Amino acid sequence: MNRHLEPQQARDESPRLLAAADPSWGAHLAAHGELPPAGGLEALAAAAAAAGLAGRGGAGFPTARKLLSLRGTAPLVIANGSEGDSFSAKDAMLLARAPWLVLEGLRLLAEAVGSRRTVVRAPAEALAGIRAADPGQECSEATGTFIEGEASAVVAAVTGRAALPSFHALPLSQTQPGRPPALVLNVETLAVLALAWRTAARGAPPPSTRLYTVSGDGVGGPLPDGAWGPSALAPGQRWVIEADAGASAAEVLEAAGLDASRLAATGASVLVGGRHGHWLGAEQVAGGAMRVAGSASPRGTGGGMLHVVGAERCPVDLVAELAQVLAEDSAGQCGPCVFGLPALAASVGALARGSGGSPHELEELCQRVAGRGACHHPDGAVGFLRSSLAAFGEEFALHARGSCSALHAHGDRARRGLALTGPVPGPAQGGNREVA
Amino acid sequence: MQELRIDMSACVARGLCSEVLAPRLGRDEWGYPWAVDESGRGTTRMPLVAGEERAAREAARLCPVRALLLTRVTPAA
Ligand code: SF4
Ligand code: SF4
Repeated sequence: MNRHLEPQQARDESPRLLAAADPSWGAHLAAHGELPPAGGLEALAAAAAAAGLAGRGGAGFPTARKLLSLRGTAPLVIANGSEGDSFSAKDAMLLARAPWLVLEGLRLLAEAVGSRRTVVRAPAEALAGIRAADPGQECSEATGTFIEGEASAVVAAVTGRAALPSFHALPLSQTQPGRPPALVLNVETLAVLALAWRTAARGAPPPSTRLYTVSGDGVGGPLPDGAWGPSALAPGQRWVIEADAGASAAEVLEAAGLDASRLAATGASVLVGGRHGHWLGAEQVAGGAMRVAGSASPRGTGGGMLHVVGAERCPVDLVAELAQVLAEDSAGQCGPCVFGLPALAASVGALARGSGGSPHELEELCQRVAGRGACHHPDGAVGFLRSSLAAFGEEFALHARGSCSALHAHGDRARRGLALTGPVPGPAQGGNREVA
Repeated sequence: MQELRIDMSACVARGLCSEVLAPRLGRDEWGYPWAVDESGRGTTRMPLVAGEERAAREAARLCPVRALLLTRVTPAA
C-alpha cells in the first residue's frame, strides 16, 4: 500500500510526531525518551536547520532564521494551534495525541530566548490535552475563525486586544509601540523542534515527517466498478496522516489508503493548502507533484492540507462556494479586502452560474485586491482564485455557457461540500491513519 | 531608502493623501489609496524618489486616522 514510507525505515531512522501510544507522560517517555537539557538559541536554531524545519502553519518560513532573528529580545512565545482553516485538523490531532512534545518545544524555546511568558492558543476542545498534561500552562482559547490564526491576530488576542490582524511595519519579533516583541510558532513546528533537539543531542538522523490532513469531496461513494473509494473521504471527514515531509501529493494520498493513480485516472483534482491553496490536476498528482511546477507560491504544502475533489463534484461550484467563504473570512478592517473579496466572490459566482463575468474581468479584480491588506488574506484568496482559473479554465468556460461536465443536471443536485465554515472537529471525528 | 506605507486596516478612504501625492498615489474603485508599481499593480507601499519626501510627510500629517507611515525599508517579517 505504501511504497515510499517503509514502516521500519520510518521507525528506525527518524522519530515520529505521533509515535506515543497515548497522550500520557509514560507513553511520551517510552516513545521519545528524556528531553536533553535546554541550550542556547544558536544550538536550537542549528537543530531546526538540521531538520530542514520550516513553519508548519502554512507560510513555511525557515524556523532557524526566525529563531536567530530573536537574539536579545526575550519575546512572548506563543504556540499557535488556532487552525482556523476547516480543511485542516492536524493541529487539534497533535495537541490531543502529543501534548508533551508541544510543551517541550515551547519550553526549549522559552529557555533559549530567555522568555518569561509562554502561551498555547487553540480552540477550547483542542486545549484539553495540554491542560491535562500541565495545568500550570497558560492557555488562550481561539474561537476557530479563519483569520484569527494569523500571527499578528494571535499576538493581539494573547495581549488582550481583539483577535484581529494588525498592520505592522516591523516584524512581530521587534518591539513596536503598544506591542511586546512576540514569537508565534505553529504547534507542529514546536513538536518537531522537541524531536530535533533530541536527535541533535544523540547524533541521530533528524525528524523527517510532517502531519497532513486529507479530506475529500465526491470521492467517498461506491463507484460503478466497486467500492474502492474509502468512506474516509466522505464529505466532512478529515484524516490526519504522518508521512515524509517531502512527500508528493500522490504519496500522501497513498499513505491515507487511497489509490492515487486510480484517483488521477478518474480525473480527480487536489486542492493543496486549504482556503489559500492551489490546485493540482490529475496529471500533476500522477506525475508526483506536491506544488504546481513553476508556481510562485511560497506556500509549498501550505499547512499540509490535501483536499481531493472527485470528478463527480463540480470544481467550479466548489470554487464559487469557497470564494464566498473567503469573503466572509475577511476581518472587516481593510477596504480592499472588505470590498474586494465580496466583489471577487460575486464575479466567480456569476461565472460559475453562467450569469455574466469573464476570466479577464476576474483577473483585473485580482490585481486590484492582491497585496493590499494588513494581512495576507487577500493575497491568499487571490492566489487560490488564480490557481482555480488556471486549473479549471475549460470548466469555467463551460459554465459561462450554462453547462457543466461534472453533472449534466446542473442546479438540482444535492450539495455535498465540506462544512466549510464549521468548527474543527475533535480527533474522534477525524481519526488517525498512521503509516506504520 | 524611504517609503510611504499605508495601514489599510486604519484607512477610511477620505482620499486626502492621494490629493497631495497625485498622480503617484491613486485611488481604487472603492476610494482607497494605492501606489502603482512598475508592473501596474496597486500596492500599499510607495517607495519615495528624490523630492517626494516633503509631500509624503504632508500627506502623513493630513491623514485624519494616521494611516500613513514613513519608514526606512526593512526586510519583511
Ligand atoms: S486584509 Fe482582510 S483579513 Fe486581513 S486584516 Fe485586512 S480586512 Fe482583515
Ligand atoms: S488620508 Fe488617510 S484615511 Fe484618507 S485615504 Fe489617505 S490613508 Fe486613507
